[in-house]
Amino acid sequence: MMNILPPVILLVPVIFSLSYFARRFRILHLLSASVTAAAALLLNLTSVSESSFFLVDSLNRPIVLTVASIYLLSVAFGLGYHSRLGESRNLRFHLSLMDLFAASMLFSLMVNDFGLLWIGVEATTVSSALLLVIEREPLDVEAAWRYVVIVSAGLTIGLISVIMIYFVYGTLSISVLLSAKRAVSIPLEIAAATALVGYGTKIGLVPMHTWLPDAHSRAPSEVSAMFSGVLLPVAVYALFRVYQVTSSARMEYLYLFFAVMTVAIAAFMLVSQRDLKRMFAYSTMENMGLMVLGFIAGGVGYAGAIVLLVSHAFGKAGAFYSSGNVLESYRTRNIADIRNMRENMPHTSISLLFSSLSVTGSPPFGTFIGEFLILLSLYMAGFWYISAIVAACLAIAFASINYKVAGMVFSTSGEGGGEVGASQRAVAMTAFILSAAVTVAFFAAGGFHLG
Amino acid sequence: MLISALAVQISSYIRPMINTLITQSVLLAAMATYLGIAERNYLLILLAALIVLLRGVLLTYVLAKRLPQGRKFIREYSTGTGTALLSSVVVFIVSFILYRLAFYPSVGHPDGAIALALITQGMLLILTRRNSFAHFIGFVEEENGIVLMSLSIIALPLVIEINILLDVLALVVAGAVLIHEKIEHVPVRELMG
Repeated sequence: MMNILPPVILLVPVIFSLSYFARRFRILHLLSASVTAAAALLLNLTSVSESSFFLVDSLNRPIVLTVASIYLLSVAFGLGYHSRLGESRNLRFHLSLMDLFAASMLFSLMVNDFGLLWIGVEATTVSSALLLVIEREPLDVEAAWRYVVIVSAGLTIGLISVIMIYFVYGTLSISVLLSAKRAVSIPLEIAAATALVGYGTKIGLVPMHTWLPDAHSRAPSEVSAMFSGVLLPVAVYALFRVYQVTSSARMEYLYLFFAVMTVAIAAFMLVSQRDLKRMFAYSTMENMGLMVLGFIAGGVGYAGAIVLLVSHAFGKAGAFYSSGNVLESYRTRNIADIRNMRENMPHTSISLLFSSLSVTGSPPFGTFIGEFLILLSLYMAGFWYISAIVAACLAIAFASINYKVAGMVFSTSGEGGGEVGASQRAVAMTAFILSAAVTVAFFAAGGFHLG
Repeated sequence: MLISALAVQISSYIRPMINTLITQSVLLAAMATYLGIAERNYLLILLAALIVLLRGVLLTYVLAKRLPQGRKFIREYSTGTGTALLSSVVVFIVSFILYRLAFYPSVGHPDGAIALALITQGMLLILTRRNSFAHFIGFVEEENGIVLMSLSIIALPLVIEINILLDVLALVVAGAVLIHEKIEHVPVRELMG
């Protein structure tokens, strides 16, 4: 009976994307996201037997729920954020694309085939490319173009990994390969390396990250939240699935090297950021690098990576929703020009401040637990030097982001346009509260015994 | 295939680049047909027909339709024929060496080297050009290289191949909307750092 849930989760947003033609399209899109989120929650509470097309396990269940939840929050935020677009075709098209974008991410997560997994990740690029250009500003178009060209060109390299896996095993079924006996071989190492380049481009690993700050900073805020919060983690999931069937000692070092480089470069880039959304984009890069480190280190790091993934998704979504509210009120994205938020935007200043604390790994947010477990697993695996480098980078990132956000919130002079709509504020607040709720869920699920 | 990649690389007019891409796709389809007949695998012949239809006709039609009206020749001044030729040959050599050292000892299939060369040529085109059309032609060339690699080493299941072809077509259609907004891409101060 519960095997019906994966197709329901996939089909609901696809069917509701047709509400482009409906008069009450806003309600229908919201209904689509709500039903998808409810089905995803049910998926986490019930057991689903294995099928040849879908794979649902302890790894992708919480990610499916996270994607569905961010999809719901983003649709709710977008309806308020783009209210001035009225009944326009632009808004209808935008919301329909959001449905398809969510569907393509959910497809990538649940599909039981490496070939279809690649197709799903590529489909996320197809469905999200035009989400960036709702306002058709020249810079948005340029950012969208860079996103499409760089990510597609990079992902194509990832297809070599699919060919190599098929060459070695003669099947692309993920569940079959996960239970198959593995041996280290050169073709599998080529698969692991090309997947690192391919999916690494989508994740934003250095040096394939150049599209990421542009696309995240120029996209409408609800789309930035979906990009940072769930799209990139879906690519991390795809990369880890390939790693699970192709890993070797050499590949472990290669993956760790690129992940550490990403954390380090992102931390140092954060110091000089002047654009609010660009700053959070670099913070996303840093968190993605951490997730890859956690998954590769294994043990408690694996649990840490999942906790970080879920908690970061909500925290980062809250940060981007708050940034969108700031942009709407102050009409600038320049951090130096955003002042005295505490008086001008009392609610948004709270959501921005706590979201920033969340994405930089402060307690009581789940990100703190995730980061702690990842650092601990690296230390326990003998990579104490990586653990030390990453801890130093986290400290730099924490100081950079929170110093700038505190400057915007607590400075005493400066004028803004006042608070934005109640629904936008409520969505931003809900997101960062859910990031803290991940901590409660973590302890309820067994706490530190999970790893 | 290699000559077509070289021709795309040194061309500065967009229309001939699109025509060369059609030729490349037809050559790819011819190879799939040949393999299909030789191995009595009729799914490969179906794949060849789809390559001609989706890559050779539909995809190039979408690109050609986006060429600005009233301008017969769209030209992009790249770094010059000499430099393009030289860098292209260097990339060819590096690709062949890479395949010989990394792939060939365990994978075999020497024709896979041509596929890898085609993939890297596509990437080189994306890296060296500033024109949207050239970027997409480079991307499609890269995808042609992947199909060639699959045909050379091991043919992927047809459902995967068809989905990849459709996915790329959809991406080009979505990208065509962006091409409509902007053709030339230069560094922008706001998108730096």
